[in-house]
Amino acid sequence: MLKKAPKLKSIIKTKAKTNITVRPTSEAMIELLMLMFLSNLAEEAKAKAFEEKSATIRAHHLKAVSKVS
Amino acid sequence: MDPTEDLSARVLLTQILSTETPRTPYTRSASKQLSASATRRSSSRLRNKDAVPQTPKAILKHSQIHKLRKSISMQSLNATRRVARSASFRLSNNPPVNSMLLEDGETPRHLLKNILQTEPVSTPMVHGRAASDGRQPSSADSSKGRSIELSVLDLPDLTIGAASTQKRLNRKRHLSFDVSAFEKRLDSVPDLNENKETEQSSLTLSSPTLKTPFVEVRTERRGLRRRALLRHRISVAGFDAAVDRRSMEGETSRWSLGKTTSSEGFTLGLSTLCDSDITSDIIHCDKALCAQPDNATVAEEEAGVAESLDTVREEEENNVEAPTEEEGEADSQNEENAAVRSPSEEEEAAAESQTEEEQDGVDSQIEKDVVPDTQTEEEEVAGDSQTEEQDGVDCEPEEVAEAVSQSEEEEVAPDSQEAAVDIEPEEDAAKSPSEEEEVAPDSQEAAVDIEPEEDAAKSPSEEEEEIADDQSEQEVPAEEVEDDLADSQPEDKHDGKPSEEDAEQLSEQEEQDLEHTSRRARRSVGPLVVPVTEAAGDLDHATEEGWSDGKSKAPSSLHMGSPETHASYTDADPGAVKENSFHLPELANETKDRLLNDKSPEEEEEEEEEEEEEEEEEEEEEEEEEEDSDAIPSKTPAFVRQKMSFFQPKPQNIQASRTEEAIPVPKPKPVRKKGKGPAKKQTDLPKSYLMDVFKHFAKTKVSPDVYPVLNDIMDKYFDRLAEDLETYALHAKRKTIEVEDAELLLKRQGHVTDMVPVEVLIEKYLRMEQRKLLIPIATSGNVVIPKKR
Repeated sequence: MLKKAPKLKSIIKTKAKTNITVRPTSEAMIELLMLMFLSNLAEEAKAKAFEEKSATIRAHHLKAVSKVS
Repeated sequence: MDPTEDLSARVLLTQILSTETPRTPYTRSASKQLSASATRRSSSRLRNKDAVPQTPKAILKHSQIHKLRKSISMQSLNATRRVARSASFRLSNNPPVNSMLLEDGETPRHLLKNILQTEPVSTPMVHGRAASDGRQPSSADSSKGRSIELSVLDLPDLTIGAASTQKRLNRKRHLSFDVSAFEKRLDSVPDLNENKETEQSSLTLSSPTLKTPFVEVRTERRGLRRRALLRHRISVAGFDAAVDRRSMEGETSRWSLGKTTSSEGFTLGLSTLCDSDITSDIIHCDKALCAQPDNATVAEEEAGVAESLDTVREEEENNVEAPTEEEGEADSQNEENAAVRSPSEEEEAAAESQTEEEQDGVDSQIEKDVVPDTQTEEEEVAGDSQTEEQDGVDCEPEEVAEAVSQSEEEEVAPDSQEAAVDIEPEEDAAKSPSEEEEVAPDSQEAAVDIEPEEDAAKSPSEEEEEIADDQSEQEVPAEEVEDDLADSQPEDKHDGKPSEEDAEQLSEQEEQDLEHTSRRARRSVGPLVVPVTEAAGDLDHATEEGWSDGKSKAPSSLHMGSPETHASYTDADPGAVKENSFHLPELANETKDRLLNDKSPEEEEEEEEEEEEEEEEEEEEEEEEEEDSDAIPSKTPAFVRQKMSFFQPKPQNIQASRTEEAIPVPKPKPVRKKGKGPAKKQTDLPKSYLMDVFKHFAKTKVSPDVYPVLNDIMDKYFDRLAEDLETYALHAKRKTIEVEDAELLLKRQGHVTDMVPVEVLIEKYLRMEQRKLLIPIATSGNVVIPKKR
């Protein structure tokens, strides 16, 4: 939260199928979306890690939590 | 004033008695009207006169006269005034009168009786008279008593009139005024009681004071009563209204809650649903896939295609692992229409990307059919049904090839599909290498897919020559693609076989190679078990990039490498992909040695070819892939190297390729452009930033090995995010993603609810400069920044 999320705009534009533009205001909103997602993810991963009685979040915790990998 | 105010009858009487002076009473009839003043004057004169005569008779006469006068005065005047005046006079004058009275023997009783008999009784007057008549203390007393009694009786009534009476009482001439006034009232107002009460209150100064509060209280009570009643009514009505409102609100709130909760991120939810359907379908019947895509939606189709690709491969490779992998792949693919895939998923992505491009509906379906077909074909390669599939694929190959070719440039993963295709081309061995179209007809089946991709890469210069090479290359990349799959998921023999075949083909230059590959493909499919895994590993490298460029070179090198590939592959596969790169140089060396050998085992050749191809491809890929993602590190080097070796010593033998491979030359950027590659080109956030943010949110220790997984997740997340935002914007017929689009997405995800508005989140998470952008701030001059739409 200290620095600007770099390349967000380019990331989104890269991934968008059609040729779409992004406003600077919506860039901030996208960052907000990303932050919210990350916070949720971190929380879930932390819970999962606690389940295994480990104070450190490890990769397999994350994988288990995420629905994509 | 006090004495006048305290004009209680008894007081007056006592005063009178004390100060009474003997006077001669007037006759009543004579001095009625004049009594008031006359009596006073006369009384005064009389007093004076009386005072003078001191004969007993004179004294008596004076006293009698005085009494009469007084009585007359009492009769004529109103009570209060007379009383007041008379009282004052009497106070001064009465003592003698009183004494005279007493002395005269005219008892007050007598006087009173006379008065009562002679004069009309007016109750108010009675009070006044009684008060004023000092000489008649009894009468006064009686009157007082009456008044008192009356006053007492009238207490309750007095309360009403207390206020009015009080005012009057305050005046000095209270009594007199009151009497006259009361008299008038009596005549006019029917409520005598009140007057009496008021008079009484006036007379008895103390009583009004006592009574008044009573009256006030009463009124207050009434007021209170009224107010209470009013309140009561309001509350009841309001209560009903409130109840109604609550019932209404309760319903609405429930609904609103339902909406917010139900509106989850739809992108996330779809996958699970889709996955189960597709995976089950895939598992059950391969051929049924043809029919299924028609039913499925486009998005699902793509996912299904990708899934099918993966799943099919898995099945082919690992019957055991297939189901699990399929599901996993299906899930991932379902979720990601254009998801960026990790190396393991690149193949899937390739398939998807291909399908995506063709999404127009027909193509996608076709691709799906092709893909499943190709995958199934792979399986059947080992079996006997290859031809069948090929036929099916042939129908579509052209279309697919075209589409594939388009995606080739961008996609490395399509090679995965190519793997399936490779099997076919191997069989066909007649693919037209150079152009995608050419490849398509030649490769026919899925091979076409692979070939076009490869061909596209090659296209620049070596197409013609690479006709055969292409085919072989295609096979090789296909194999490699399969290898990739194998690496990511435990590969089975099938992958290895086609990969080997491909390698063989690549190594072969031109037609000879083609034939060779075809033979090899068939042969390799069967016997090759061990090399399969190896080849798979190598294929991964090869398929990554536009190793089509290197394909031309590969054939020769491949030949050499084939004998060696076995060992190398075996080593490579188990190890990380990176290891392959190491192996490849080794292989290259080996191939060199064996170049001339032309080992009998076609397998070896295939392997070598694969190796070299991979190496070259890796080399080529290095530049490309490295840019793309860290997830494919191993593939890049070998692959790019292979490409490089392919490019430079195009017609060279293995030696050339070997040298190239041995020396990791910085490969010139492959022709194939990495635009939005398969899965939308993996875009990563900087590691420092990402880990920082994640640690901040986690608040516990985070091991650094989560970074790749995290990257992967973020990749997919951005894919979906971009897709969603784009969809929203397009739905609103805009070409720009707006703030409201993002807001809508937040709502759907449940981050913004009725309780939590967007602004709260903005203030919580974003920095100041962003807040300024989003939340309008009023500044001086009636200016709001930014302008609120």
